[in-house]
Amino acid sequence: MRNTRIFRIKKIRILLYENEAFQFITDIIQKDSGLKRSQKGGKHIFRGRLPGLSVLFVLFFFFPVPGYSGDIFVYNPESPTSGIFFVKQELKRYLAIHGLHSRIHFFAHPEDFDAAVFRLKPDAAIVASYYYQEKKDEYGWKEILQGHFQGKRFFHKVLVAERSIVNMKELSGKSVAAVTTGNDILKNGGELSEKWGKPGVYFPVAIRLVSVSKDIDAIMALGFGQVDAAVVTRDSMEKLRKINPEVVRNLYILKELSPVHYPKFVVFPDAGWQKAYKDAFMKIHRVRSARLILYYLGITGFEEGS
Amino acid sequence: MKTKGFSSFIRKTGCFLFAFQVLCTGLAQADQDFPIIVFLKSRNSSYADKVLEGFTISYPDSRPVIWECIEKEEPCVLSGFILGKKPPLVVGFGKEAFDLYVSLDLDTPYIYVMKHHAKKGSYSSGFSFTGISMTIPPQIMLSHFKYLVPGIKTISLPYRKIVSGSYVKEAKKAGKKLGIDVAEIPVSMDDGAKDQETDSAGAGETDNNPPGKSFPPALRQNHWMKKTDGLWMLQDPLLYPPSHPGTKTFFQTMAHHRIPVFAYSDALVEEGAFASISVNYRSLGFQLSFFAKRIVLDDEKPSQIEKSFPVGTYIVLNQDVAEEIFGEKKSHLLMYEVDRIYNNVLKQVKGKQGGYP
Repeated sequence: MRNTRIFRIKKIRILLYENEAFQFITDIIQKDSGLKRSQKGGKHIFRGRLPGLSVLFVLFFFFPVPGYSGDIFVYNPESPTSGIFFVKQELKRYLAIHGLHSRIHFFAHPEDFDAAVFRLKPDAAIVASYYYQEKKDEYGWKEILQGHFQGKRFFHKVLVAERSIVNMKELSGKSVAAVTTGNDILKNGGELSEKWGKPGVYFPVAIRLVSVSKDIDAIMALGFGQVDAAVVTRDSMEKLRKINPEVVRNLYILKELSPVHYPKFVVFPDAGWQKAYKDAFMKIHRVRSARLILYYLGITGFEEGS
Repeated sequence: MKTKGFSSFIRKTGCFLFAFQVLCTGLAQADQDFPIIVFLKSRNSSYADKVLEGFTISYPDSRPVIWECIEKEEPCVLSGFILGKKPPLVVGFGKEAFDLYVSLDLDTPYIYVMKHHAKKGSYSSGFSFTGISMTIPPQIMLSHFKYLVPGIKTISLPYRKIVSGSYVKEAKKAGKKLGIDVAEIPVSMDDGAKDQETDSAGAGETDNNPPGKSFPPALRQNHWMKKTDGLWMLQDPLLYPPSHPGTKTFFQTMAHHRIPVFAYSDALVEEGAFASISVNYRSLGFQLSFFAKRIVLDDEKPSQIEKSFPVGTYIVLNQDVAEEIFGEKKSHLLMYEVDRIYNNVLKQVKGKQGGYP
């Protein structure tokens, strides 16, 4: 009986980390206690068992976990802010199937990302393409994979406005609906330009941003007169045109913003498991449960990087 | 030597403390320059925190003061606070907050966030207000239905006349423009329950749920099932009592017949509805801050700002049901049109961890 339990612990330790490991040990103790309780009426449940389990517990934490494959950082401001916990669980589970037992860290702010890079020395990262451009020299990143949406490597955002607005200056102090994560990225017009175009060119004036979670909300807000302009993909505008042509009739594209690549999978210099990572992420779209990860990143798969 | 070292230490400490004090005073001064905005929270406005989150992100240069409508003696305290601090704006969540503010007879601009727009009434002449209703207009709801299910031609809509009569009328009109036939299904509460106007989700509970009736009241007539492309559930606790035992079975039947059910809450998506469309409170906060900036920074009067409805929606999709209705390929792409996905995998994780983060 005891041998069986040790075997189970050995087997499971390959799959579990950090808190999960602790939880697992606790589960074993509880299971054990349940067994004893039923046999001995609930008293002295750990008698004769606790020392053995304690040794295992200590061994578990002092020996390096076999198969540990470095840390992966994820930073993509376009991703939804809810459900990160599930995406993290799913990514861990998916990589474990491929023999990779990485720790996954999600970031909402670039400053936190930068600070953690020096602290944790990660091996790989999934980052927004514009962040990759900004930091690739500093971190020595090598692009391994490029995200795509049904084969398209980048998306175009356009600035749509009512026909009564004829130039950008007229947007001063007006409301613009866009998909954003927070004011640190899109506090004012200037910063909005940095993200989707050349700084200070597309938004020479201060706008008031109304953050929405989907492009369709932004274009609908404009179509139903709730805001003065919207930053959306061309696709979503076309979709609304199909659904409700009357609403889109008064709208037009005031400015086409620079194309933005979908997120990239990059590795830090001297990172291990590069091939394993590459293989795993190339196949990710085939696994139904792992699609949640792709959905989070707003892509339908990864392909070879440039 | 020792004395010199000590005096140097004293000098350095003094300099440090002085600099610290200057910094603190500066920060306090800077903070005082930010306008105070008073937020009145009704007791049932649990959504207010999420709205405030969006508001503070969008308008960080403001000092929100949150006032919860709990105490009985609060009207005079609140009135004293507003008269003393002179905030440029008061924002109220819910009808209770609105009624409280009206009773104070103050002239500070007011923005409400309520389920329905405030009715025209005999308010005092100085009371200037505008607001956002939390009811998503039917034309937007129907556009979203068509966005998720492009082939939708007919949608069934059970409702109670006294509660949603005018909304359904509007929905029929909007449906015509979008090419969707909104098939109304008036429901009378045949179990003796009185129709009543309900503003809170708690009203109704499960009292009108007689044993032996397997489906929630709105769903007992199912003659429409064969000739519809979808079911639209309006928020009405008497029609759809919370935790009704028949809801899950009904959703299963609908999925089996490949009829998508559009619910009003994500809790119903977890039960097996195809999708839910509700207000995105964070976006509502951004929208509210836009209104606030117009009043506080641009000196506009609330009456100059048109009453509005929520700009953003929060859509949750049940991936398993979507796959059953539309097949795996289509449902995979549907994932990208929504805010949150619910599926069996998440259910397992949820069960293990005991709730969503």
